[in-house]
Amino acid sequence: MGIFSKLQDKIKSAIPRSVIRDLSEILKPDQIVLDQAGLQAFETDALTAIQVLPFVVVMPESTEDVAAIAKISHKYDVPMVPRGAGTSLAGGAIPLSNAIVVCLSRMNRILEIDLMNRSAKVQAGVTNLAISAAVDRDGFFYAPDPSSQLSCTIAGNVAMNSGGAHCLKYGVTTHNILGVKLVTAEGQILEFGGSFLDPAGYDFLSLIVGSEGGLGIVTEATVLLRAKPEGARPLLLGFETHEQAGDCVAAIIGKGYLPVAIEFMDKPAIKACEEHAHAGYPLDVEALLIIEFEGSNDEIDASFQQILRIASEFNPVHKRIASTEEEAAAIWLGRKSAFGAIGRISEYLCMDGVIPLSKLSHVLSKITEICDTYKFKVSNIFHAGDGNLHPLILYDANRTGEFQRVEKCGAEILELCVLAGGCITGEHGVGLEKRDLMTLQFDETDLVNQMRVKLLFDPNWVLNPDKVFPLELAETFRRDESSSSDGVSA
Amino acid sequence: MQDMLTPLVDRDLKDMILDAKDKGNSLEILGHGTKRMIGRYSEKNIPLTMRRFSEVTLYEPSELVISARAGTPLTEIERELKSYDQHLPFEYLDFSRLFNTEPGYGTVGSLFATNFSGSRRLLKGSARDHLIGVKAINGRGESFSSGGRVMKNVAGYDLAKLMANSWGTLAVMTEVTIKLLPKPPSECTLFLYGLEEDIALEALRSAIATPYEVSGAVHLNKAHAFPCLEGVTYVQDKAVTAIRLENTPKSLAYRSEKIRELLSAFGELFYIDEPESKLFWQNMRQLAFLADRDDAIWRISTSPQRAFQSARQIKKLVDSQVSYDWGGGLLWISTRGVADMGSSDIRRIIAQAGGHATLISPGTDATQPVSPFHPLDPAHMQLTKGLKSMFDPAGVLNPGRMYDGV
Repeated sequence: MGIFSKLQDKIKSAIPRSVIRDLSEILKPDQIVLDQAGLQAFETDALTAIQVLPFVVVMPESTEDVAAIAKISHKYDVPMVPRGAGTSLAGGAIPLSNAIVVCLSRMNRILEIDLMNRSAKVQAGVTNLAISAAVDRDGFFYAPDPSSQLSCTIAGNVAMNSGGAHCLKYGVTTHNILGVKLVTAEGQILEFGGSFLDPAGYDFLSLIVGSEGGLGIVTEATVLLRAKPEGARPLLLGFETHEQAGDCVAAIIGKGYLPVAIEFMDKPAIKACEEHAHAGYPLDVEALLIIEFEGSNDEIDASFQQILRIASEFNPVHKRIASTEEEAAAIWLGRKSAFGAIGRISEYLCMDGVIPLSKLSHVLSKITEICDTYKFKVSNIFHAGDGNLHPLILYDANRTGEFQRVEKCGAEILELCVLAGGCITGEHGVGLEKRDLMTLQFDETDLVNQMRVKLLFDPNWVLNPDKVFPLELAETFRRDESSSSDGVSA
Repeated sequence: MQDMLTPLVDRDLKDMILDAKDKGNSLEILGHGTKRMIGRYSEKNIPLTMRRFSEVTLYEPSELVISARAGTPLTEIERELKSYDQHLPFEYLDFSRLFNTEPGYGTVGSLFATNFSGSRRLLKGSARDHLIGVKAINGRGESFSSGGRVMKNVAGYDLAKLMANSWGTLAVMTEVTIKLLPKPPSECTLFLYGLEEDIALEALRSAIATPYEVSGAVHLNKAHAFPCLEGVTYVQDKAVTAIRLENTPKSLAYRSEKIRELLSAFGELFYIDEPESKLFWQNMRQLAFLADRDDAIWRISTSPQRAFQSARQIKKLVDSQVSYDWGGGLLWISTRGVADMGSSDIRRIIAQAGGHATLISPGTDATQPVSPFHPLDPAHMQLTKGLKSMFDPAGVLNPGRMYDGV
């Protein structure tokens, strides 16, 4: 059964009108969206194949607003779906028809920039790129850089533990968050961490980052700022086979070089990007690596020489060094517009599996085999340094049943990733999309231990419910837990 | 002293946990016991050592990843990594000199359970940040795993990182998977002598704000400086401020010169080359500056901006020596002659500044019992107890090790 049909089953009884009445008492009229046209803007996120019209959308302007909304949700036992900019590729922000969508986009103020502490405190709806932009002139930046960084919010990044091309060197969101302010399911305001390193006691931040809005609604985040490098430039290498490209990446890392990013594109991806962005990518190669180094001009050039020396063992047929900022920008423009470029050709489902690098060529040929069986075309783009694959499976959204078929094809690819020793999602999150695939990676006890954490924070299971955990397993778990706690109290 | 339990495989460990649970007993979870002196201790707990869980189960240098069973000695892990010029980048602390115990002990499980990262944490992150996968058995006797061998993994809640700094109170880790980094090809350190604390912190902050990737930024007061400088350089009777750079020799030459120019207003910067530089940071990692003293030792994480003011307030109230790591974000304070080791003053001041204070060693002057870990506010304590009850409802694993009732 596909995600969509399951969603239909989940439509529960209508929300009492008194919820709207209570919301109107604490929020201004322009903070509540109820009309059909307004609600339609929130019916999906970047997983556009699934749309569900929400019951009501609220636009809090402060942590206190969020707390008051949570208290109403708690009073009526109505679910809440938190939403940043709605850029989730996994359906993390897709509403439920019986939920209050809590859209944080109006909470878009940078509250404090503290360069001495190398930290910034920002409201949840501040965009990822706005943080770097605010400190750029002072020589700092915020490191995680998901492709959607122009529009995605820090709250969404915290929820999904977002990564990006440059996390090979700087880590993902969980490595770059110092503290959060969080509203619990019952409307309590809690703070975790702060503008210091390594919080006291249990590491609640490690749970909250990546919890996909299931443990609370993050309203503020304190992020780690880093000193900007003097410069950064990429090098392009083209290979005749995927194996050569993969082996070259392994050799670079194995020999002690850690570029800030290593990106891999296969032939279909190269072609789409080149046609779209005219980045000067070679069209006669099977695989392309973009390898970026940071430092002074001399340092970058020295690194390039080392990499070219290592790469020569793998017979690169195309080598190009970006020697100016413009050339560097053109190379990155091609890569960063990859999803859009392929989107111009066809609808696609973007996968997000991770594999150990040593299994690369095996996994790539298997992906082609799987997609051939389904008669889908596939483009592969991935963060090669950390093994994060983004196969884009192209399909015809207008053909009945195609989405269900492409979902099945994607599931087979993710199963392949897990069997190779990897995981089902490296940076997009589970959301709705991969909820039922969690059992590929985890056994029931693993998931029960995770669900106990959710139960602690969200005893009534109202925070972004129906995401992350397989529905039936979650229902069985909640039934078992409630009967065992009844037993304890009896 | 009760007999030590020594499980060999998961099945043994699970049986021991379930047996303790059935009998209403509790267990003290140990590796080699190198950090047994830190935190709370209960005589009631039956000691259980993971030292026989010893094996490197996976090492893929080209993927920067190593997995090992939890009782694997750190010396063995380091031996493996050395052959590929890789390392655990967070420079974990070695307490052997502080506690006068035999050096070279410590297991990989206890390293992560306690999450004590050293000077390089400033640039490269903590032990917790590098813990990418865990297999564990919780207090219910359930085996579970989280994370894995790939460094990007956002499927489900990150229970692996939750194990870091949980001091074995939630689950017993049986295997850990760690993200590694290549060892920097060379290093150097720049020393400034005799700076006042606030000026020194300003110098460190200026250095960290450059693009030159400062991987160590400490200021040691006069008394603390001496043991760290022995064998490193001519010891002056002055405080020392140290800035470490790690890179290729050519980059070091360039970057150190840039920092020298930038910090020239702070005084003369002395260039310390590799063997001596390495020795200095090894002394830091071994807490040489705090060893062989009768003082109480505090480790305090706080905001670098507030560090100097907090330290000044503390020094006014308590007979103490203060040194700084992480560019001011970590304070090491030794106190003497106070019954509560300065606990009430230190914790009040740090709570106001933001952060927390851990008592590493009580010293010889202590007469009052003090909670080693910074007390939590009621909301966090409630969540902490809640989390404990989810993983270990019967309180079998290290009960009371961190806090009363946890």
